[in-house]
Amino acid sequence: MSEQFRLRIVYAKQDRLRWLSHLEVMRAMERLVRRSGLPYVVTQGFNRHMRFAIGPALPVGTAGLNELFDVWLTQYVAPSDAQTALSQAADDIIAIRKVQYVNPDAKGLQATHTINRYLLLVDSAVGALELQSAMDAVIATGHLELPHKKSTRSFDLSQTVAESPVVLPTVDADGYLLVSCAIVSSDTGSLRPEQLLACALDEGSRIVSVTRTALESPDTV
Amino acid sequence: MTAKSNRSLWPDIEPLLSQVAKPSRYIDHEFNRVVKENAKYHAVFVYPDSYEIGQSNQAVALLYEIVNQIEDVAAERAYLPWLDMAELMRDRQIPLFSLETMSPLADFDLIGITISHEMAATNIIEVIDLAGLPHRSADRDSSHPLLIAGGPVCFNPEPFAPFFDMFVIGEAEDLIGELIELHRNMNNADRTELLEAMAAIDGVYVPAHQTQATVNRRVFMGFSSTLPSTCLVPYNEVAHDRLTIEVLRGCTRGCRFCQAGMTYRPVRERSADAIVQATTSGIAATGFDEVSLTSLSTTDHSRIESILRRLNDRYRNTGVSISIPSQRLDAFGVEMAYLVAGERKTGLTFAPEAGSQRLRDVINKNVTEQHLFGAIEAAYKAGWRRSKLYFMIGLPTETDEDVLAIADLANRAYALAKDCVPDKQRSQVRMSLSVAVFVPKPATPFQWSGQLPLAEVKRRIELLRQAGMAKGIDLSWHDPEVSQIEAALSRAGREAADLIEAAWREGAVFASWSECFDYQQWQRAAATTELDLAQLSERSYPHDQALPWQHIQSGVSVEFLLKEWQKAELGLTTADCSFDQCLNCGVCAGDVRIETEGSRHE
Repeated sequence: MSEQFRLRIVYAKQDRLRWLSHLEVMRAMERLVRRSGLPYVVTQGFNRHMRFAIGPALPVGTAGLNELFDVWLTQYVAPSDAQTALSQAADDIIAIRKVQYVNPDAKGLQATHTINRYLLLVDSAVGALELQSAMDAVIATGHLELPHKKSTRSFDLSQTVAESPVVLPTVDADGYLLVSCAIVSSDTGSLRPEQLLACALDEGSRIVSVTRTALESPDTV
Repeated sequence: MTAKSNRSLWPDIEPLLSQVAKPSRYIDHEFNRVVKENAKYHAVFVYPDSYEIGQSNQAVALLYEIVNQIEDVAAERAYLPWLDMAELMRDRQIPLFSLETMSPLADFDLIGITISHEMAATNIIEVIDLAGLPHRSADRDSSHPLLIAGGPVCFNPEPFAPFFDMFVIGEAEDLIGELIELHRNMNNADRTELLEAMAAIDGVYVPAHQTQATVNRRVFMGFSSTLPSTCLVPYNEVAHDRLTIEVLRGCTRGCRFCQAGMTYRPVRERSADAIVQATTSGIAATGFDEVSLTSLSTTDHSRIESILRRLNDRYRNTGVSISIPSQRLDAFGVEMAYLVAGERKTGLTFAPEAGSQRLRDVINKNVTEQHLFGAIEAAYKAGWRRSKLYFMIGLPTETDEDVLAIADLANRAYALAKDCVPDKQRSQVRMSLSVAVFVPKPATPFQWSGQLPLAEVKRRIELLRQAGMAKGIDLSWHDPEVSQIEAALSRAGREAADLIEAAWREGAVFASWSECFDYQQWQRAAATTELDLAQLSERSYPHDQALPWQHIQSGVSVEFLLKEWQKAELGLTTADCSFDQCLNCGVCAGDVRIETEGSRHE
């Protein structure tokens, strides 16, 4: 097999695009690569397609500031040229933040990038200190039982929560509280940060938005 | 003329998105969309179905592109929100909105609705109602947008006539600019005066304008010399999620049940160079991995082999495939089997339409079972493992023997397909049999014929089901009750408008979706309006009786249609004039003529 070059693209899925499903994002990114004119690798199976891999899924409605996908190229293209080509093909709709080459034989994104950092905007009926106490109390229980379809799903918080929720010292322009946390994704179903936070919110509070700010590998944390 | 506000409904719509299925239907921002700032005239083109059905509609795409090219004029798109969204919008009093600027439809100067099939009837009322407009033209005034309709259903506009201010009959490419210009020039005219002026445009039917004796179909003779447009790239997985290039318009094979075959004449081909160029630039501009070369009969293009060969060469090893929507049996040989869809052999569609040669002659299909077997052999030997065969049930003169012949033909085609593949692959051989119920359509030789009674249609479907089909054949059929409603509306007069509105009041929306169709809603609507669904669908019109759509002229003369009907009764066939001599159907006159790139002689 001739040499292949694995290009990793960091992009933002935000504003209206946060309403896209994982499959829709995947299709949009493949089309973006084709429009860009980059020399992508085509698999040799029965159903030939672009060699492409996307990072862990985001739920519909959740924004992502530094989302990832990999595409394999048949020729080396300078990262700056690749970024220009992708950005032009993305119009002003998708922001291409960074482009870099990674080891072509490295494990897949979904296996390696399991730390999900989130920022949540909370319209809170209580103050920052009270919200922090409530969140700490949830973490202190050590586990969560959440309804899932017709049964419940159990989460061991010591394994699932990489960084406990923290109310940040600043508020956003509309006065909403900012809460950060990091969750470990898993093949068998990941805890959503809004589910974790909802356990600490009282009735008068609501989560305004959820944004995944970064995807990281445990090796780099 | 209305003054469009700059009010975007997005702040009202976004909070609803977490509560509805497929929110990407409502977010706009597709690649290649057009947003024109500071336009002075605003049109919105609506496909009255969900986004994923409407987004790939070619009529809306064409009008969107053409109107956006007019200076100071902006075109936007709108689709019918799904049931969950519509309910939330009504609860919160949010009107139907356009995608590009999220503006209320009532703020536009012109609303154009494409009606592709009769089952969209109640969706039209839903669009008008969600937009907050009075349902009937007579109840609207100059403060409301102009409401126009176009599409195949307009060859009998009467069931829809009270809801629209006007109808575009035929191809709207060079008509829409004329219509908008007139509307802009008559900015301050009253409604009656405006509609009267509109009625003078060739191809425009104004139901309220009583003196319009006949309206001739508009034919776009610039088709061959224009390039197809670059299409929008949806996020949502739409019905036809691919680049589509219309390679030719019109089909003169002359199938006697086919409305499109009669109403899109004459045949006009785009050149091979233009098609290849449009495909190359279209793929580059959209990033699609499939292009579909569409038309009523793509394999009839005089240069189809050359086009497919050039495109296959261009896209070899790129993961981009070339497809055509269905294949003429008599034009699908060994060569074509290798050219269609290149390396991606997912499925092939053929339409014998009838099981017996007698009935195929009645409908003028002009294919034989040898053509079918030849196509099956070529396809399965070339690597295909799945195919789909379309048939119709309830065609004029059909007997039980004709119905049983469908099963017999399918069984023999399936056995042949298995014989054409290596032993180890025989278990992969599949064949789907899709059976539609015949719906007589206006402007066709079968326009005088009634549909079979519902019970008889059901009996014939059961006869086919029990006919003993091979295990690898999957049989499916259209809901006979849906087909009855379609038939009732296709040839009814203006009285059917009450039926449509009553059905909508009974809750009938998205009636073409099997999960939403409720026959009882239509039965209750028929009872309310004192109309009989069976009578409407089954009635045969005497040849000398005035038809509800006789004022709409497709270009094909009534004499030609009648002659074809008489030939059908005798089982006689008619040749294709684009391959053979002129048949004097009435379409070609003056500038209107057949335009093919090369000779179509077989």
